[in-house]
Amino acid sequence: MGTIAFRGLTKDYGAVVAVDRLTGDVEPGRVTAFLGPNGSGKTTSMRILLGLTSATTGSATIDGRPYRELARPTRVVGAVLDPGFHPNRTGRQHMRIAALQAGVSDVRVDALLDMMDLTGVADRWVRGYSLGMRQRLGLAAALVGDPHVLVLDEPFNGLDPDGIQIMRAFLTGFAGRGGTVLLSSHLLSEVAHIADDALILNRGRLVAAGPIDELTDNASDLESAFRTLIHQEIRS
Amino acid sequence: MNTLIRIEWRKLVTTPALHVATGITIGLTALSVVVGVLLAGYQGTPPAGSQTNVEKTLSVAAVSSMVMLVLGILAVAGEHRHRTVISTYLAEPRRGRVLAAKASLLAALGTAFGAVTFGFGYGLAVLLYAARGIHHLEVDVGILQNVWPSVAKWLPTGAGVAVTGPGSAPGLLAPGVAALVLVAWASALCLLATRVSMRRELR
Repeated sequence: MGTIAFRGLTKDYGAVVAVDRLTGDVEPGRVTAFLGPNGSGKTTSMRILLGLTSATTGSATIDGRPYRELARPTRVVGAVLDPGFHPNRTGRQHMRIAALQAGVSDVRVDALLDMMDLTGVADRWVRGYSLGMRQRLGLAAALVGDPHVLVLDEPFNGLDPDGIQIMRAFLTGFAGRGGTVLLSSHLLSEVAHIADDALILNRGRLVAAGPIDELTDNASDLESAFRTLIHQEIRS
Repeated sequence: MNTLIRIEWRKLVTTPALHVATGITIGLTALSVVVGVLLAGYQGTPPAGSQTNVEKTLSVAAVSSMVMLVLGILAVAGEHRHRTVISTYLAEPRRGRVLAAKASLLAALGTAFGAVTFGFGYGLAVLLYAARGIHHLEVDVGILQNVWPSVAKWLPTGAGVAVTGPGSAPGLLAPGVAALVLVAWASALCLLATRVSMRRELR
């Protein structure tokens, strides 16, 4: 339960092809990293997966179903995207709206605020939150429906070293309990310690896929393997 | 659907817009009634308690309908501005249902808002007239019909009546003007909707 499948996924904006025939699987119980430089199609693929953008052709499904056909989507998939909060709502109000949307009780709100170390600021306006606090609030809101799939776009952006540590531990634990984690990053070093699998994109196309260890077998380190893969693609 | 309306209600009461709108409406209604009653009869204005004066004093629908228009825009466009629309559509990917919930809630709220504002303005006016020694107001059951058209004729319904009705009725716009008003409404709403739809894909 919780397999994400991309099948020939293509998205073009006129002449610009953002995603080009992407095919790949993201398995439960593992952390999978969507890797690639800025503009390689990671975010677009995630937005299509989450039903926010429509595909030109091909499909992206969760357990065989498109996101828009899930009955209570936030109970299945938690998404952490570029966080959007109303500046004049408190963290708790934001969470309570998310709880109502997911159809779960407010009891979970307090537990999650506590888990994300936000209880102390929960009744303050989000306007005054730091980027790190917003990221944690975004993750708390994504978890409110107790999903078994997590989709995170650049989740380490804006986090301080402690925050990165906490986020890594959380994601590893989530996958360890059988959950599916798909996260994007343009820095391999950021995810090297926690990702089991990688889907490496460049200019909308999949250039490599598989367990991170295998992808980097012939390279002295991960970052140079990543760069080699991308440069091979550019020459070809 | 009820859940979606409850969600929209919770969103509305947790932002300052609703409270500010209520404050502005009550404040401007009170001001308009006070001015209408206390300044009546001075500098050639109709005497206090005369039919013209009472109708003018009680035409408070202008304030609440404009404030509700702004509140409606904020409730929909604010979600795009603050990007909360992403969480909204993640939780309910059937966007039409979300928009329908917003529209129903705001329509109900607008009706209640208008009724409450009118009640408040009317009550205040009765008190103020009584303070000036006027206990019998030159209006009766027809009051709502007299009060509403001052604004209603500019709204799509009022303009629609002016265009479709026979001849030009008192209190309504001339058919030609009303047609232009209708076109303006339709164009403005279409432009807004198109803008939103265009953005949906790009974000």
